[in-house]
Amino acid sequence: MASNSILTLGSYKNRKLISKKTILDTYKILGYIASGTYGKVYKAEYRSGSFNNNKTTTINSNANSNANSNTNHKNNHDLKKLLFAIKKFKGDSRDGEILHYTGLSQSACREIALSKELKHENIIQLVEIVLEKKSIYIVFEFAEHDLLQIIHFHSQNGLKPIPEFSFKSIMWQILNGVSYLHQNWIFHRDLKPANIMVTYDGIIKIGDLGLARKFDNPLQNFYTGDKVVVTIWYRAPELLLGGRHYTPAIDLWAVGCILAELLALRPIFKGEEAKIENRRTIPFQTNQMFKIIEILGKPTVKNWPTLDKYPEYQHLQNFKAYSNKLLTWFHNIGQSNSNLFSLLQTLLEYDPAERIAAYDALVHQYFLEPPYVSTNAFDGLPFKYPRRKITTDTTDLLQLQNKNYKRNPNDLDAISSRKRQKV
Amino acid sequence: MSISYNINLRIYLHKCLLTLSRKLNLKIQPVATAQIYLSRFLITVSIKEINLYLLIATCVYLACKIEESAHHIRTVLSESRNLWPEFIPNDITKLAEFEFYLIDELEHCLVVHHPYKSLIQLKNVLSTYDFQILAGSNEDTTLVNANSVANNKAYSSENNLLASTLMNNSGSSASSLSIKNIQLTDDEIQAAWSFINDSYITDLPLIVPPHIIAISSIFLSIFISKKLSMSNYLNLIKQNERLLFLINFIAFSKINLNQIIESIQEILILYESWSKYDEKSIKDDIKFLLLNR
Repeated sequence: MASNSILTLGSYKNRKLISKKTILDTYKILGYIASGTYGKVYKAEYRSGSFNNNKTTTINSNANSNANSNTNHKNNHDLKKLLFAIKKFKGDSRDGEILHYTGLSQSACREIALSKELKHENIIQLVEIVLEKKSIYIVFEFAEHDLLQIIHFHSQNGLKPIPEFSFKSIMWQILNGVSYLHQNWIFHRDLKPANIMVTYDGIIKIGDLGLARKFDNPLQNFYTGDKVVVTIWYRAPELLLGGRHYTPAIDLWAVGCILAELLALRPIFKGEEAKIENRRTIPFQTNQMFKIIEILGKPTVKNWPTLDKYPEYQHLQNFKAYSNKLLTWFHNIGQSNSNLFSLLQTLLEYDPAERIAAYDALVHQYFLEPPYVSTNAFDGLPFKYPRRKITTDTTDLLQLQNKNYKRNPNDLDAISSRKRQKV
Repeated sequence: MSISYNINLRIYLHKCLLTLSRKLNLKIQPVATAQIYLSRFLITVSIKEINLYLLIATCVYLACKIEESAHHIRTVLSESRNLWPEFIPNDITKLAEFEFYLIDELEHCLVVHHPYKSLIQLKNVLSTYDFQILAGSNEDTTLVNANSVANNKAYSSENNLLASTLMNNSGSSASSLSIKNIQLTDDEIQAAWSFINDSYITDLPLIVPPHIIAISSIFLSIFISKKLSMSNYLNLIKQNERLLFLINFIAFSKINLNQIIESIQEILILYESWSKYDEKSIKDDIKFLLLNR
């Protein structure tokens, strides 16, 4: 029988641990931004003197671009600091300390694999991935705002609409990012305002690739991999109808919903989600489908030829006939631009085969008329959006940092002795 | 102890990986990705530092997830234990822990492209390609490219028959050929597919891009389909219109000729080494290595 040592990583592990730099060696955690099913996102800055040669180059280029764009924002001098968003994946944890290795979740695998490959101005940029002590940290560039915040800001201030120039630049940049993803055979599958970040200088950054995947050459249908994709309010009708072989058009539906939400400052199809009672049967989302039908009318094989092929088609029989009231909805929220309406209509097209592609939407008539879009969606805005709130009363990473760094932040001996103990 | 990361060991490791993949009923894509992970990991880590069987299991486990055909960690672990009961711990945390180190060692670059897709694309192009029409307008540039490659690389040395054949024929007039395209037979596709499979034992997939391995495999598959012997193949190539056509196609397509030659040679060398493959001694060596750590 084998001795215990052959079953472990042995000397290799020791060699690796000695040279490894920890996440807290490199970054100072400022607080946490948000938490969700995936884990937590922290706001962090670089510890001065902590970067090695290798990293300095990337950081410098970041710093330069920050400094250049900073000229428009004289008062934001603390933004010149190098800020990062660190996503820590939830593991099999108790009190923030992960007890066992359990294997990376599919979502963590996707985010690592895809973030590493993607580089585009409208996709949140990966800085580095750190795997340490059973935890996974993905470090991204920091973005000060997200669309959910921006929508809240406007709706709380007496429903003042988002200025058209900003709205239009935001929409175009979202489509630009989505187009980049689709051209690289990746669909996002969770586009929603909360996942669309905006930097303090008005650049859209699409984030959260935890549900994204490559869609070329699938080994099995998409449904087998993930029974439910896209947050309910942004879920395309072909998904609601149980489509197994869906296309990147599902992302364009979500973009259509986001467009409508930016205009109306509330979700256009705010359905109630039917909860999944057991994992085997996925319920039909009757209420969500109803919210869509209420505005877009009931789909028919006439305007959606493959409609009767969908697994949940029979559920549609229970709906009364509604006519398309999208134009009324559009007028009711105070809009009148016909090109904008046409863009909205073609994004919220029932038949995914007819729905506009991201690449084509970039040159939609609406974007070719003034005001023209800009890479800074906030250019000339007479007000500033509030900064992202961070919470510091958390346990977990922050606590760990306080334990190890607060008293003696520059005491490198203390850090390395801690490391040695863990070995 | 004489074990080293040589071709013998590589053949054995890849055979082990394929055995595990078969138990798990994997498609070719995750298998190929796992093989790349294995080869890349062993570039920077010594075989003496780690448990090779656990490494194989971990590569397969991670590749399945990345290729969107995940297997539960328990399934991968128990199938591995069935195959190598002495060497795989009955503890999922060991496999999961190794996954962390594997991902780090791969520098988090997990997306891999494979030649199988290129093979199908090339098959389609070759079957519809009308060489004469295209060559008519571009013959001069074809000649220049092929010659410049021939001149500036050592591959044109005389003792390299394959290279000189490729070079000498790449400029020959296409209009002398009576065929306009190549319809690869099922047997040839199957053979090319197998050459691609075997290329994963070598470092080729880490050195040249996927389409190079694909076209090299097609070349080899046409080459062997005529059962040519090595001694007189130069003459036979000249008589084989399909090979000549392919050579012209390669020259015309401006695919990196040196890389193709390197790939073909690497694969041929692999088969030569395979004849001396001794599984028993490798198995014993690994056992000795692991039990005496």
